[in-house]
Amino acid sequence: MKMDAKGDTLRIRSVLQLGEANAKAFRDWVRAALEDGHKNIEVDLSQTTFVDSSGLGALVALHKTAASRKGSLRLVNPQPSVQQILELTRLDGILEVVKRANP
Amino acid sequence: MTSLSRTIKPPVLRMNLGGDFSRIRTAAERVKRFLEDHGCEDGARADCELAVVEGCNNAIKHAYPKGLRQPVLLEVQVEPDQIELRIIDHGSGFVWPASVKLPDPENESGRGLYLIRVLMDYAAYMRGPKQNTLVLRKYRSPS
Repeated sequence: MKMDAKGDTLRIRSVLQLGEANAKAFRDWVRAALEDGHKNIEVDLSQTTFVDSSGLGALVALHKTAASRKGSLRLVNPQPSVQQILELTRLDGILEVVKRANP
Repeated sequence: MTSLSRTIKPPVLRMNLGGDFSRIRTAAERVKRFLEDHGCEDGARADCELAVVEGCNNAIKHAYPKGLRQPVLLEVQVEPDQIELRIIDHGSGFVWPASVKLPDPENESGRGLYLIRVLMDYAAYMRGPKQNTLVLRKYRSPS
């Protein structure tokens, strides 16, 4: 996984999977990297091939973290299988999903 | 008279996860490859992969008292009209809810059984004195 910052947004990419084995560590790693000026969290899901309920839990946790900073969590370019899981669990209603040509 | 017809046994994959979370992803990927090798459709493979992960996570997390590690067995059987997944644990088990609802969107847990229910066509949890079995079925569309 890789991370950088642009303005008030912390950006994470190259997330291959989000499951029971790494979801809590991922959540804690992102939270620990947030600096005072960061409001938004952006997770590029274009390379993420698998998300389970633990991974969804980590995304919800980061959504709440961003909301507590008056910002938002953005999920960029999820693959169709991950998009389907977001829709099945109706999390696409609270998590912002963004489609971009250049993530 | 000896029958000329022979019963063809459906292909079965069996694995022992040993009560170890770290083996679940590898096992699910093996299941996906097994289903691919036996001609199962893309969508069914992905649904079974996630259902296996959720079922095994659940078995290890909830079926065993803290600290007790006993084997969790996973069996996959491919038949012409369905895929059957069986997840067997030897712990105390848990009460399978009559209906599974989505938790509040802000909740960070509680979506595993819901995903199993919506991804699978059939789900039953059988609790026994020595073992518990979660049986999941995904029906296959005729080719």
